[in-house]
Amino acid sequence: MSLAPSAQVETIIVVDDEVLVRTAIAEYLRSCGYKVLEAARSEEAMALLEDDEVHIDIVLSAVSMRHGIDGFALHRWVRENRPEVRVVLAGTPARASHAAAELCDSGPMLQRPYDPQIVLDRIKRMLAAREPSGEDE
Amino acid sequence: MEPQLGATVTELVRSGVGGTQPSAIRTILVVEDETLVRMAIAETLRDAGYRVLEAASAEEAMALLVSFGNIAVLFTDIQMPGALNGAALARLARRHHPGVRVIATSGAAAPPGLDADVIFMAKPYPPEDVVRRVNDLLGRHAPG
Repeated sequence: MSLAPSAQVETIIVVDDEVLVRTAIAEYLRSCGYKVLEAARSEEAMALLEDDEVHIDIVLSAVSMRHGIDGFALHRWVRENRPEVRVVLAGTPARASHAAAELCDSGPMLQRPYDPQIVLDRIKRMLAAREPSGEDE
Repeated sequence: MEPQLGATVTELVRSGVGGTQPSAIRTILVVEDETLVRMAIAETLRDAGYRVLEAASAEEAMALLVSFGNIAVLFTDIQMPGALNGAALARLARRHHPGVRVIATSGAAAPPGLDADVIFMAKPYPPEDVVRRVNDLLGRHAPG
């Protein structure tokens, strides 16, 4: 297990209650060389951020959540409680894909593994297969 | 742009988007509603070389099972909030995805209705034991 602070690899927590979006973004960021944790709700992210054994540099969070605390409130909580942690909010899967690509540009491997449009297309395909009207741009 | 295209195609194949699994890297789906426990198991499996998908509920796990056609092992907690618990998830997975091997875990005794081919692990356990059981189940000493 390697949850302790790492000297080399930055850790990102991806917060999204839509599992298909969260998984695609998390896998993309892992392929850029980041260590990536996943939270299905803001409250999960807050629990991780409050744990002294878990080191987190960046929070990439969806804005809307179906239950509980939304991304804006999570951002405020991080600013007040963990001001050293950078927060990136993304309102749609498209914005999340592009935010992830920008993180890849400055990440451990300093290059994107592939175009963020591939991530977005994959997310859309998976969401469409589950919910025919679930496209989101 | 050829290298990028190559990387794209490789990733699409590896991720199972095409619905096949030619890669030797096996995919494990970890289902656990306790964040820190899920994270510890997932990270240990990743360190061992597996690709790991994470679900915080049985409902999330079903979405991943349907969307990713290449899951080798479902590792699920039995006690979870929501309409589906881990035992029901294990039954659904075995019925609709018969190629998926299942490991179920609980702090209580194994429920009586658990399928005979579902492996039961009693909590608590060190994450390394999960790697060992997954390795055994997939018939390999090291993932790759």
